[in-house]
Amino acid sequence: MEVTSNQFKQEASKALRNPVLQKALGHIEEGFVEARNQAARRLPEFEQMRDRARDIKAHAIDNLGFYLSQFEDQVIAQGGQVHWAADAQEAREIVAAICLDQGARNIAKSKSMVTEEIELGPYLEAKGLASVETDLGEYIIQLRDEKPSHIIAPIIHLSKEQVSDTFYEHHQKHGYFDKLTERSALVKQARSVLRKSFMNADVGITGANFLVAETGSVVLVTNEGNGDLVTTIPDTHIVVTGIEKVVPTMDDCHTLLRVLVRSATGQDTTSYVSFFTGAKRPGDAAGPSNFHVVLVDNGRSDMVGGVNHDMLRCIRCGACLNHCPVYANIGGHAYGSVYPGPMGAVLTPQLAGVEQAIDLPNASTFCGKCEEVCPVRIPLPSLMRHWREEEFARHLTPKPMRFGLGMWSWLGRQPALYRVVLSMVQRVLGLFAKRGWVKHLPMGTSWTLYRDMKAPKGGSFQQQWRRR
Amino acid sequence: MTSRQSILSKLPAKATPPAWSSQRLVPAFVQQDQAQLVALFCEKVMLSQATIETVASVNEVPARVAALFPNAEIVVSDVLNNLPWSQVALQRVGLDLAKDGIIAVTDCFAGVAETGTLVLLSGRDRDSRLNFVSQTHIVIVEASSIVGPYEDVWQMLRDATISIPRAVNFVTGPSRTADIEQTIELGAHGPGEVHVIIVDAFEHQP
Ligand code: SF4
Repeated sequence: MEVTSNQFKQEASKALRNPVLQKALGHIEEGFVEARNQAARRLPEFEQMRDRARDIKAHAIDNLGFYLSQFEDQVIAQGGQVHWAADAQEAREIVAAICLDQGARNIAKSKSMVTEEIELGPYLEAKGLASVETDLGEYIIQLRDEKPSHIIAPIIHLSKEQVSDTFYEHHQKHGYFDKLTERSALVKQARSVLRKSFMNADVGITGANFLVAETGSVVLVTNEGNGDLVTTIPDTHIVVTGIEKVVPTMDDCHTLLRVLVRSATGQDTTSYVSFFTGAKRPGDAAGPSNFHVVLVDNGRSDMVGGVNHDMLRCIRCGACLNHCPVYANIGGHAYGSVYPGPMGAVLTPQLAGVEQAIDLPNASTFCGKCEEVCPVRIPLPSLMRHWREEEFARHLTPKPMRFGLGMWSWLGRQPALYRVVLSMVQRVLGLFAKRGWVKHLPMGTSWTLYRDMKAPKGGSFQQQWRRR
Repeated sequence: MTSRQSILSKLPAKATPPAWSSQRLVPAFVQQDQAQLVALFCEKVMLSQATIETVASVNEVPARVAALFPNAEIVVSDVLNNLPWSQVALQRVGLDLAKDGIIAVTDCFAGVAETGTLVLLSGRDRDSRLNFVSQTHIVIVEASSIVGPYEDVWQMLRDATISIPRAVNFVTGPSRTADIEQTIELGAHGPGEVHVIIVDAFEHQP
């Protein structure tokens, strides 16, 4: 997986100084955090269902080989084909080969994070295959030649005005010359432009939210309906998905769906939850004659039984992004990976290599909110802490920081000296404080540039404890 | 070694089915009698921003559609061919994908009271495209097919010994998107309007 996560610090600074982005990120609180809280409160069994969801995914991962084989058998029995891809390159080749084999010219895609992960779009384009993203957000990303900044809300970083500019620039060739100002008009215009892409598509490509082993069904969760157009109009449907998506039964799947949607968008259910099982049956009025599932490993099997084993439970709901104070301030692009936020801070070093992304697990206050809201109860802070330990053990920490940490740990072992130094630091900080806040620190501008620091008061913890 | 073998060799593989009981965990509020479930379904359909009404017999459906959309062109699912369409002021047309603004009328296999969800199956006389290319989707639901939780739909399929169709679509309200500034807009790619008509039992092929 190609990432630019090593530019995290510079990108994060830029993001903090970008007023349009800062305003756009303001929508997270109401749009996602509040909505999720209300949805959780409406369902008394929600916490119990999260426990169950965790157990289902844990069981499926512990028996992944069995359930994948069962899923494969069922897909084949229903007239579909299953392909196994060890890495991104193999996955891309499989998809391109199917398309070329069909003599395909036009491809309509529905949103899929795995296809972002394996960078399928640019590869198909290089092979002369035009693929159009049909999810509204992904479509806009494609027009702007950007990457998604959120796993379920790809254009959360954009304003309505930016979308309007993008359509104005790109839709003139479709006969639309007016600059639109209303959201509803933008949605309508995208609908009519994209309708042609659905009609002309020879191949539809989707991801999957779940794979059901007992029936061989692929489950797709959407609100727009583009996923269903992509899978009913073209004659070939290709599903590209990670191997960790399989669950044992339909009943298990519904438990997961209940917690997924509430955690993701705060809805009780999305407009569309579709179950696709195999190819068009003889005599069916519509549907693709060719049904392919590409099971992508790309580093996932290495996680089984390892320190990041629990991360395989992730159902990509995005709740940990929405509730993360770091994500909420810098957005997704700064992470330099299609997987941002807390889940990305665990996954990106795993999939791209720890040297490529060590800043990400460090970009956390360990406030614990992500673990608190994760529907499958992944211990995200512990997993990020593991990366930090790995970083230190592998001497990836920058020298000055390593030196500082060494000093700190030495000081911590000299209690008398520690107390003297600490009270000195407190006094110095006090000199810089105005009305209880430190607004500027000569050696700590990276802190005070974007926020104030609370001035220490009332002495150290130990002093306060002694006074009790 | 193929990629299939190499991936599977890294996974904990057991040839025998692992011990697992898929316990159902359904919300308490859907465990009610049939009359209450129908009422709950109606309530949830309205919450999903669809409309709902009840007619006494399925033969009244064409007249209801004509009342909603007088003289309109409509695309009717083949499975509903037997209804008295010719007796009302509507024009039946075939499906033209290039045209937006289609009004489609279809049946459905079940209604789910939990969220006011319609369950549509693909099949010989059931063109799944109608559910998604239309601007207005009118769906006929049999009162007796309304169940509490989603899980019951699969049990209904098993009871009816219907093997799983290619597509099973759970549809709840109109198509929507909140991609632009996290504000909901209806009618993204699928129908912007969904109208549900509840009828008593009627004869239609599985
Ligand atoms: S880690 Fe948990 S909260 Fe984050 S995306 Fe995955 S499932 Fe959702």
